[in-house]
Amino acid sequence: MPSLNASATAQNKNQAKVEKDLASGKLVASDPTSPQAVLAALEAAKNWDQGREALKEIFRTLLAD
Amino acid sequence: MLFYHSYDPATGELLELSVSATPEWRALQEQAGRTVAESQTYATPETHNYLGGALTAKRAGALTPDKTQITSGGADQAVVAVAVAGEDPPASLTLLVNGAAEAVALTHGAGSLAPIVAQTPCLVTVQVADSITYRAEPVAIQAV
Repeated sequence: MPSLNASATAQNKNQAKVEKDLASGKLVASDPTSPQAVLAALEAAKNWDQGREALKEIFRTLLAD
Repeated sequence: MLFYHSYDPATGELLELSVSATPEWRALQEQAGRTVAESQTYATPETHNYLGGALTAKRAGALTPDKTQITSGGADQAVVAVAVAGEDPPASLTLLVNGAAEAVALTHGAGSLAPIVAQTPCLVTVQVADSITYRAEPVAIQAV
């Protein structure tokens, strides 16, 4: 099984999502497994269950391959 | 010198170039559903296609970012200029931005992709969607 660091690096290189922000007309890229995104997901959690689900989703993405 | 090309007759994509055409090579191409053509032109899948069944140089395009590194956080941005050379350029060109299709309107063969911003550190690659018709080097923008 690949290390978390190796997987995170691979995700960082290959799987950044890009979406069009209709309000600004800009293309917004983000890597859902980046430390910033992880912290934002945890900060957005309103309780332990939401935080746990966010962490599970992050690890699912990291270990997907 | 004679070159042997194999191409997909459905899409016109040039797939292989060979300087010899052994029976085994021809058989392999036919098994794969490819058409084999002879030509005195040195052509590679990067430079030519067989759209319409004839060897044709790909239309040259250019993707030119104003910067190849941006700061994540959403404030910094990069703009990729798009150009298609030649007469009668298309009215638009579809690009793939990390795989997501984005149409760019062109005026006299020139236009620009919507600004790219990044919320987190990541790599954004931009390339032409129709790589059979157009030849343009992909560009990468690194968000740090």
